[in-house]
Amino acid sequence: MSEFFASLAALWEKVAQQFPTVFQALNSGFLQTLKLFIVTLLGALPLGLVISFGSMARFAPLKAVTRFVVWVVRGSPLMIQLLIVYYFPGLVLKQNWWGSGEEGRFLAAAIAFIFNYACYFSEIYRSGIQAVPVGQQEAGQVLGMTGPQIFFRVKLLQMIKHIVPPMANEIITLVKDTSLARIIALQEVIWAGQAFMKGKSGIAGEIWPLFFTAVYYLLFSGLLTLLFNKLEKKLSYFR
Amino acid sequence: MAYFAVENVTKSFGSTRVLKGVDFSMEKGEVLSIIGSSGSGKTTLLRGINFLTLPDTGRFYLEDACFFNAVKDKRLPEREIRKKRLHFGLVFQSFNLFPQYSVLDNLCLAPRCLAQDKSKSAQEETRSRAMDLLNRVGLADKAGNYPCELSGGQQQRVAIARALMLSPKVLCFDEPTSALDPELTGEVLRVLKDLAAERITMIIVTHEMKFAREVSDKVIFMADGVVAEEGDPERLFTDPQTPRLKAFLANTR
Ligand SMILES: Nc1ncnc2c1ncn2[C@@H]1O[C@H](COP(=O)(O)OP(=O)(O)OP(=O)(O)O)[C@@H](O)[C@H]1O
Ligand SMILES: [Mg+2]
Repeated sequence: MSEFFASLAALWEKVAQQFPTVFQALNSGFLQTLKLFIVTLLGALPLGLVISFGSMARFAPLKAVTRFVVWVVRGSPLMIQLLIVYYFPGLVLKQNWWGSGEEGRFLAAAIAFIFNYACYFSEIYRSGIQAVPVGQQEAGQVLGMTGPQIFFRVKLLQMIKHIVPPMANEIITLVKDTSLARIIALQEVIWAGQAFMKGKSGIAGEIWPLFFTAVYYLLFSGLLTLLFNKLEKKLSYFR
Repeated sequence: MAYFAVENVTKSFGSTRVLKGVDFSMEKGEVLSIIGSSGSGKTTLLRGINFLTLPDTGRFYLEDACFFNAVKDKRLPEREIRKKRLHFGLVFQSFNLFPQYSVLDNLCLAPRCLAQDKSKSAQEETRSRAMDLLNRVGLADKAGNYPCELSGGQQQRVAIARALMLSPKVLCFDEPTSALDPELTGEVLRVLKDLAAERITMIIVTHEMKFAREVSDKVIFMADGVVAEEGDPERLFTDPQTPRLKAFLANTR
């Protein structure tokens, strides 16, 4: 028993000593994670809306094609999509689209993430748009309101209320999904943690930095959960 | 010399003919009740009058002037339809209040959207008119509440006040009490009676036969997409002429 506590103390001492170096490396890795997260949202939130319009289009072929693409993207693993986007140009087309550096990897990852998440978001938008009863539209019409007035003053907030909870879930999933970019060696936080196993900055054979990366995800998703709860509460004054 | 009249209104959905040529007319300040079994086309008629689903054929007259001809006006731009729509009001079976707005704002939203004059004094006038109407339906104390905080009967009274805000020439009701618990229908019917006493011109689709008989100046019985019988309520309810109305009344008793 005392042996166990002794080894625990030794571990603690080692971690405390290595922490500043590791912390710095993980921070810069997390910066890359954060960048991927933000770029994905900036791209996927508007693209998802466009795709949702496609999936509700009156023009049947457009609707069918959009829904098929959404089904494929949502039905297959993001990890495979990442690999395809990253390796397809080089291995199949013999074109070096992505270059060889971190920037190229980021671009490939961003494209895969944006497209994947836009497809998920499109379904959320669609259900939110369709959740507003037609009675709301008709009530606005018989009161002489114009189409845009009905959309912006009557329906939009009701749609947002429907969209926020599933969107919050999806966005929190995205926080953790960014780690999948590790598969194409994007230097995000997990990659940064793993580097200390092989050896980096005089630290080698250490696995605790990798384990420690979980703290970043926890804190970040925790923060987002709080924010979204606040937003949901703000919208809970009506039903 | 009718105040409002419709002539030969027809409407089909695909191959089903729902309205097969409806005619009726009414005077200013009258209450016209429409009764008839489910599927006879009552809702479709009201939606046609309010331009929610345009009829295939038919003319609408206000004070003997034809202001809508379904055949000719088929391709009328939305802006024109909206103008014509403002002659009418419609109260829905399911209230359709705007959930994110307070009762007062439910009343004020459309008038403010429509107003040319966006000045503060105009806004204030809209507000005070809204409060007057809420007083009339007995809900002034709920002005700051949200629809989800009201009972069904209260919501429907707010919906009636909201429709009155635009002072429609003809106010239509599509089964205004059908979605309510029985104990809540009374308060809504009382409001309708008050409006009738104030000579508001109304078309009421209803299954409340006793109410229709008490409050209407004229009753229309619709069957299978046409007006099968019409007339004075006392006569219609005590001495039905057509077998269909006889059967209908026997079933509703
Ligand atoms: N948008 C539509 N598309 C297809 N059919 C419709 C549509 N609206 C109504 N109908 C059909 O038209 C017929 C008349 O419907 P309507 O709602 O006008 O009847 P109603 O007299 O109001 O009946 P109820 O008493 O049940 O409200 C019904 O058979 C209905 O199925
Ligand atoms: Mg109906």
